[in-house]
Amino acid sequence: MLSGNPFLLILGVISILIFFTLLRTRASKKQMQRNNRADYSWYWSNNRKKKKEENIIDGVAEEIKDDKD
Amino acid sequence: MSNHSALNTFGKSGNPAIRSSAFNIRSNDSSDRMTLDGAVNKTAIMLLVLVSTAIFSWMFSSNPVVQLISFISIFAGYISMFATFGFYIFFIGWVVKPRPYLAPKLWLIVAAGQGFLVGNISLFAESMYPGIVLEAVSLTFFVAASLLIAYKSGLIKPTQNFVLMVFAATVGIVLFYLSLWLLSLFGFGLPNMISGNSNTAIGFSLFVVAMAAFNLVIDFDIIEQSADEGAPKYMEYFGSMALTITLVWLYIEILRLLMKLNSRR
Repeated sequence: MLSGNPFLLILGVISILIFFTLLRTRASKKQMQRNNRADYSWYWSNNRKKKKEENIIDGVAEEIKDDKD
Repeated sequence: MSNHSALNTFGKSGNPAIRSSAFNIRSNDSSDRMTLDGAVNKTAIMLLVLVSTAIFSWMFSSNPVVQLISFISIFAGYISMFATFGFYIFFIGWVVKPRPYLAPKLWLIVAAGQGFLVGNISLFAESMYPGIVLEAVSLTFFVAASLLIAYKSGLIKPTQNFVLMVFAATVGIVLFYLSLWLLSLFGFGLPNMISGNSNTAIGFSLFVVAMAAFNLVIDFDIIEQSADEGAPKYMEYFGSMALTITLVWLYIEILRLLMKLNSRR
């Protein structure tokens, strides 16, 4: 069914192991603490704004008078 | 006064920071946040679903019912992809805006759709050049692991300019492929520059492989930054979806490149 170069097969298995092990580790400080990082926060901050806006109830404010004459 | 009677008299603790309800609120908050482990686990689940559907479509490729399911899944997968990641056209802007919060509902549809696509393409390639699929899978993960090492160590630094350049090139490639597909619907064949085995065709394939690989770097950066800044939980699904789709794209492009190189022999 499937055939291929055994060297490439071993290379593939090792690569998969390295890939999933490294994916769980944090990036180096050199990568994380730099000033010119791309900003992806708009992916989730736009949605947050939407949710905040939904919480605002439109209406007319009325003064409540407690003293009944 | 014994310890028990003191607890009975004053309650477990008057301090709101020590009360159990305070801990519950905090844990609820953190469970709504994205983690690196969560994104990796979801990527693994997506790849498992993808491989399962790919094997299924490979084994039952001659069955018309499986062919119909395959077609519907691929179509649904692409619709889900565009709904989540959006669709951008030069000089027009976002035709469909990205909606990352849809990712938790659509990630498995995308994984299944991509699996059927990979299964069909792999079967076709393997029937032409036996052994090519394992080579392409191995090379895909070799490229991904190498780039991940380069990213985690800080060797490759995705800056805003880097992201913009890769984004522009990717949009260009997607629009180019879409226009070729539309032309093929009207009976026009693929230009030899793309489908042939000339130096130009192989050079084009290498360029697309490089762009897919650079997209992987951006996916790693999105996952890392989202986890670092405590993004909402749905970003775990979004990040894993982006990573899986890019891995599939890289695999298909490497497969095409290997097919072109094999046809020269």
